[in-house]
Amino acid sequence: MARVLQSLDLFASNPVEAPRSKSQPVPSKSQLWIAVCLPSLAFECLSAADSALPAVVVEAERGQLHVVAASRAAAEAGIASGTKLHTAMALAASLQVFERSPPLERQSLESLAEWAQMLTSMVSVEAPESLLLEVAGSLKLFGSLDAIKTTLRAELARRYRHFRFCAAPTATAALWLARAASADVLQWRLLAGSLAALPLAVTRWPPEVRALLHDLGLRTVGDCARLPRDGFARRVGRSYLLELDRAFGRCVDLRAGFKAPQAWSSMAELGEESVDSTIFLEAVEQLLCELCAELQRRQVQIGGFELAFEHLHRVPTVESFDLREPTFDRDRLLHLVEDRLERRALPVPAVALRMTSGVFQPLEHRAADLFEAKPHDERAQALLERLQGRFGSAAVYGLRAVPEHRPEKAWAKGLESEGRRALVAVEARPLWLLQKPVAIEARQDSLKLVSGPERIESGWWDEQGVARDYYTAKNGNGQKLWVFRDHRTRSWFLHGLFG
Amino acid sequence: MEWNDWHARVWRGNAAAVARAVIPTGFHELDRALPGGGWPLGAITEIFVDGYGIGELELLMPALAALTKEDPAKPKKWVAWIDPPFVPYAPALQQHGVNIDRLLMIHPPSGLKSRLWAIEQTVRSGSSAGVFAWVAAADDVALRRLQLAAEDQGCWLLLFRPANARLSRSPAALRIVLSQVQSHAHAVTRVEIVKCRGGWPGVVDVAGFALDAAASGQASRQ
Repeated sequence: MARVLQSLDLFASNPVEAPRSKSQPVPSKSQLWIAVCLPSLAFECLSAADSALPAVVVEAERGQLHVVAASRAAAEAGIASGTKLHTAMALAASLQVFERSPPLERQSLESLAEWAQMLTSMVSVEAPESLLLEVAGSLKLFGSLDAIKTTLRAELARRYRHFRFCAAPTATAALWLARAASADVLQWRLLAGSLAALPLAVTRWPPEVRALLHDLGLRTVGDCARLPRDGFARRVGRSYLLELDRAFGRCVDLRAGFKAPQAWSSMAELGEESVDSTIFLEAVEQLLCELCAELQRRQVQIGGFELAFEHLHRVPTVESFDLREPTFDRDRLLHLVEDRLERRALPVPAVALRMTSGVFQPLEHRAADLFEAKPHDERAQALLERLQGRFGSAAVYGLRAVPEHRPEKAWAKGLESEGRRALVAVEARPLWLLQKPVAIEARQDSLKLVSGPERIESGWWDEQGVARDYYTAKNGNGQKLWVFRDHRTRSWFLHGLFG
Repeated sequence: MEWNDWHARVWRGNAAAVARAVIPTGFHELDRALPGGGWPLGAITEIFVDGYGIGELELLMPALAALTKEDPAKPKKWVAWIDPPFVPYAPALQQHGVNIDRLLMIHPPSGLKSRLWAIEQTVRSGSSAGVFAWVAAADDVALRRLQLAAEDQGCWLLLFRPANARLSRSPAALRIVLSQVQSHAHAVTRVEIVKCRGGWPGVVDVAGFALDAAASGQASRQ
C-alpha cells in the first residue's frame, strides 16, 4: 500500500515524465478486469422498458431535450441516442417520452454490483452505466475466465436487453474496450495495439477536448499515445495524459470498491386492509425468508430489526425487535414476531408491512457441536430473548449481589455479574426479602425473637441511611421472620422470611 | 420350585424407579425416603405449602447449589423462577452456595395462561436445568403438558401450590406437603410425601436447618 501511495504522489507531482519504461508496466500483471457496459440502462431501468411501443428517455442538455436511450421500436424508427426530441417526435408518431432518472439507474447498477460480488470481492461502480470487476483472484474458483463470463452473461441477459462486457488487464482499458464492443484483451503485449485502434469517443472526454483533438488531426487513442507527453499535457491537460497512462498500464489505476449497503429493507403488501395476525405472519415469514437469504448470501447477521405496519392515512405503527445476540436464524426471528403479534393488537388495519433490518454484523464462525443442533449458550440467550420479547425486558431478569450493608441494597437486578465479589454477610440472611419493609406490631405473645440483634447502621452519606436492629423471629404459625426495629422511630418492621 | 426362584423372578416396580435421574436433596432422611435417593429430574414435583417462611426454600437449597454449579464441561443452563411471591434474596442464596448467575427471574403478567406459557417455554427451550414456578390453579391437562415437556428435557420442574390443591388430580411424579412442627423445642420441617412414583407415601422430618442457623453463624464469628 505504501508503495502504491508513494508512486501515486510521484505522478501527481510530475505526471509529464513517463512513469516507467514501456516494457515494465507499473500495475501488477496479475490483474484482470471485466468492464460491463449497459448502453441503454437509462431506458431499461424504467418499468416501461418492456413496452413494445416506441419510447425514449430524454435529458436536458444546453436547454434542449436530447434522447439518451430509445426502445427497440423507437430505434427501428431511426431514433438514436443524441437525437433531439423534436426530431424524434417527427420520426415516430406515438412516441412515449420519459425523463431520465439517475437514482433509478444508480439503483439498478448497485443491485447488479451486489450480485457481482458473488464473482469477486472487488467490484466498482462506474457511473452512470458501467461496472468494473477485478476477476484475477476468482479465476481459480470458477475454473476459467470463460466460466465467469458465462455466469455473468446469463445474469446480464436476465436483467437487461442491451449489455456489453470486455476483459482487459487494466480497468480503464477494459472500460474503453467494452464501450467500443471490442474483443477481450488478455495479454499485456496485445493491450497497446488494441487500445491504439479505439476511436476517441470511447474515452468519454468532454466534447471540447475531443473537438480540440479532432482539430489536431487525432482520431484514435493510438494517435494520442504517439504524441510527445509534455506537449500533450500542455495542450490537452494533465488529467487526460494520466488517464491514457492508466489505460496503457503505465501507472496504477485505483478504483473505489463497491460496498453493499449495510442494512436491508423490504415491503410486503397485503391484499387488503387487515388486522388479522395470521395474515401478518404470512407476510412476515415471506419477508424473513428474503432477509435471511440476504444474510446468508452476505455472510452477516443482525442484532435487531424493525417491523412497520403501514396504514392508510396514518403514521405507520413501528414495532422494533432487539436481539440479545446477533443471529441469522429465521425461526428465531419468526418466533419473536409471533410472540409479539400474539400479545399486541393493532389499533387500525394495516395495508402493508415493511421490514428494516438492523446493521449487518460480521458472522462469528463457531465450530458446531457434533451432537447438539445449536450451542447451548445460544439457546439460553434465545430463551431470554423470547421471554423478554413477550413480557417486556423488565419482567425477566437475573440476580446480582451487591457489596452493601443495607439489606435492600445488597441485591440488584441484572444479568451480567460484575467481576467483583459481593461481601458475604456473616449473619444468616433470609431467602425471601420483601420489596419494602412492612410495619408490624410486635407483641410478646405473637412474635418470639429467636436471635439477634444484628445492628445495621449505614448509608448516612446518601440520604437513605438506615439504623436498624435485625432479629430472627418466629410467629404463631411457625414462620421464621426477619424483623427489625428502626432506631429513630422505635417501630418494628418485617423485612424477610426464612423460606 | 423353590421359593427363592420365585422371588428372583417377580418383577418389582421400584427397580424401574431407581434407574430414573435424580438430584440428591442434601438431606439424608429425605434421600432415603425418595426413590433413587433424590428429587426426580425430568418430572414435576409438586410442593404444597400454605404460608411462606417455614423452610420451603431451604429444603431445596442443596440441590439448587448442585444444579447451578459452574462446570466448564457442561453448557450453561438457567434455573428459572417463575413468579416468586417475594424477592429471592441474592446474599442469602449465596450463603447457601447457589451460583446466582444461573438464576433467571420471570414475572409474567397476571393470568394463568401466560404463566403456563412461560413455564412451558422455559422447560421446552432445553436451556433450563430447573424451573421453580408458583402456580395456584392448574388443571390436569395443563400439568400433563408440563410433565411431558419436563420429561423431554430432563428438567427439574417444581410447582409450588397451595395446600388445598393437593386434592386435585395430577400427573406429578412427586407430591409433598410441607409444614412446620415442633419437636424437642426445635422447629423442624415436616415433609409429607403424598404421592411418589416408584416409592411409598410417608412422613419425613427434616431438621438440619433449624432456627439456630443464625445462632451458628454468630458462633462461627466468635
